[in-house]
Amino acid sequence: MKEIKRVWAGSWPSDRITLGIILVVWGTITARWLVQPGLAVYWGQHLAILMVFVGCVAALVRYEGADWVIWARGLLIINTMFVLYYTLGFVAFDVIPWLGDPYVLAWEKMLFGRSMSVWIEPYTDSFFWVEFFAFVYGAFIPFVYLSLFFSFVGRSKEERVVLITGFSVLYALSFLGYLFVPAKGPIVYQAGAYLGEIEGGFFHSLVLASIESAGGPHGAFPSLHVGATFFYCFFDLRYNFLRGLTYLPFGILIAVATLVMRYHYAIDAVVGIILAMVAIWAGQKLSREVLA
Amino acid sequence: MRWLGWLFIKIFVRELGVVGGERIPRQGKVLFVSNGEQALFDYLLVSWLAETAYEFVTVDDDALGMLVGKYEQIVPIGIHYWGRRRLRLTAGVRVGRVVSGDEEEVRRELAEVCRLFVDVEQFEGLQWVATLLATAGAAPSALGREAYEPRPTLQLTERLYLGYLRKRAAEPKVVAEIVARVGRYQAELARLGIVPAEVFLPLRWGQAAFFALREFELLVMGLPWALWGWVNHVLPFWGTRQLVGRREAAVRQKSLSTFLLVGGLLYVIQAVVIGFILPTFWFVLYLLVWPYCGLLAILYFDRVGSAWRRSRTFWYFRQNSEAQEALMAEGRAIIEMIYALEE
Repeated sequence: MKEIKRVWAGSWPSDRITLGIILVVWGTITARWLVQPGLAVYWGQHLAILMVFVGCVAALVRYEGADWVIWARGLLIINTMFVLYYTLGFVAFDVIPWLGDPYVLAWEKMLFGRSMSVWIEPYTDSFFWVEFFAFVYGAFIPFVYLSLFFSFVGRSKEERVVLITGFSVLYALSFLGYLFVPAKGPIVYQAGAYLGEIEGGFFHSLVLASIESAGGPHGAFPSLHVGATFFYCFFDLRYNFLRGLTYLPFGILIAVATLVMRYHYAIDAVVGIILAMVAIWAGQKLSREVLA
Repeated sequence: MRWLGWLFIKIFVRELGVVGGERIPRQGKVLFVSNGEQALFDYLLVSWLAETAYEFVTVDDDALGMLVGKYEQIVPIGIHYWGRRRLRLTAGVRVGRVVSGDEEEVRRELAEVCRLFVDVEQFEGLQWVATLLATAGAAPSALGREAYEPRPTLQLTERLYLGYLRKRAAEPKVVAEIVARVGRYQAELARLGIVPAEVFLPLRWGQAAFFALREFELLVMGLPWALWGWVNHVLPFWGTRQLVGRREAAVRQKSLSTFLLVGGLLYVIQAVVIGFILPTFWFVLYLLVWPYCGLLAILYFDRVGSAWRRSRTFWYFRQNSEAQEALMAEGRAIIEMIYALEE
């Protein structure tokens, strides 16, 4: 008990937030397992994630002060979140007994008066625009990895702590949406509402292949594509102004691309931007404890 | 207005020095009275610095007398700009003590606050020495951070100036020797095209590779926006510069208002022409992107210049490591000598 208290006291807010979201996922699976059989694999997977994470945090707390700890913590949080991102794509739909799409679409119609993804179709229904937005959508992946790299390497400790904390807040809040509002997006739920299939070329097929490899469309609400892009933009606006300014239009294009590619509702993008703002604010607030 | 002030500093201020920032009241309404070198810029800087509800007036404004009577907290604030020929300025802010008296007292305090700017201006070399002292003989910070990290250069310049006056009277020979040595050092760096901070540039290949990657990514990704910004602003900007440049010095001094007037007119003409060419949706998009790309272009080309200068310094030192060692040793010796003299 004394050891647990010591680790808890020495852990960073990003550790606690990540631990919190793992516990929420694992706790939800446990609760559902009581009434729904066949969830043992998920339960075991997430218990393993939980134990590995707690073990790593205990090690980080033990070696706190060493130069490598900040790097190791960054890798731990980022990898844990990426693993959860993958597993939630399956867990949410198998564990949660409702589908989030009707609710998200209802919120969308309340806010915009229509489904924005269906509305935008006639304006972007050409090979050029599909390829252009598929390229933008796909460019998100290198952008995220480059941003993570540039946000970590060559930075001060303060900046790294703010980044890790904000990152954990953004992903944890998004995963709550993924888990409790499991939505597949308009490409599945509103498939019949469009005038036709999207027809693109190389970049479009690249996007389709990457979505399929991740288990098909899932995790529509909120949009982490938009949320993460704006998170890095807001972070850079504070710590590397020109880069933030350069990528801000890219964030807007990503938001439009999610609609054109039919993977998200407009409300997903709006909530993604709000979460990015919350994450940056919380990142700065919570990291004060560590920096003090 | 605070966000506008923040944006102004980020875009147009290369370096910001604030002396006496702790004097700015945190409660109650405040009247800021500036010396009004550039009233609009002063206002934007004040809007960023203000911690509470405020009103702003320049010392030349007719309303000053009337406003002074209304406020119990009046802050005289001297603001001076260097490098006005360039798009990005260096701004020095000196905050005076809070007064609550009559107009004369405000003017007296403001004159006192601004006196050092006038004096320091006469000793241009002091600023250069202050930038050398600000390096503390350590490696330079990453590019693009100058605007958000308030730099100690202004404080150092003032300390140098006051110290210089004291020591010049007490130890004229020593001071003359240092001045000559600094002059030689400055001339050597100017000949090589190296700024004081980059004398201490580390020559590690790993760091250089990271620098190259970071700058390459930024410059490639920013190029389309910056070029668009340049193309769409070059005509009003060039036209204004031509018109303002021909006016007498007194008018050029107030170039901002002239720029806004003439430049504004040229912008309107350009917008009307574009409006005739583009369909409504694209025209609205053009109008939204127009100022954004212009501001980005200012920062972008400034960054290109800094990145180029740093790369060139790196290559020069890689091939002349002995020259760097000699320059570093001399720089550190000068820094030590100045601090030793102060003690």
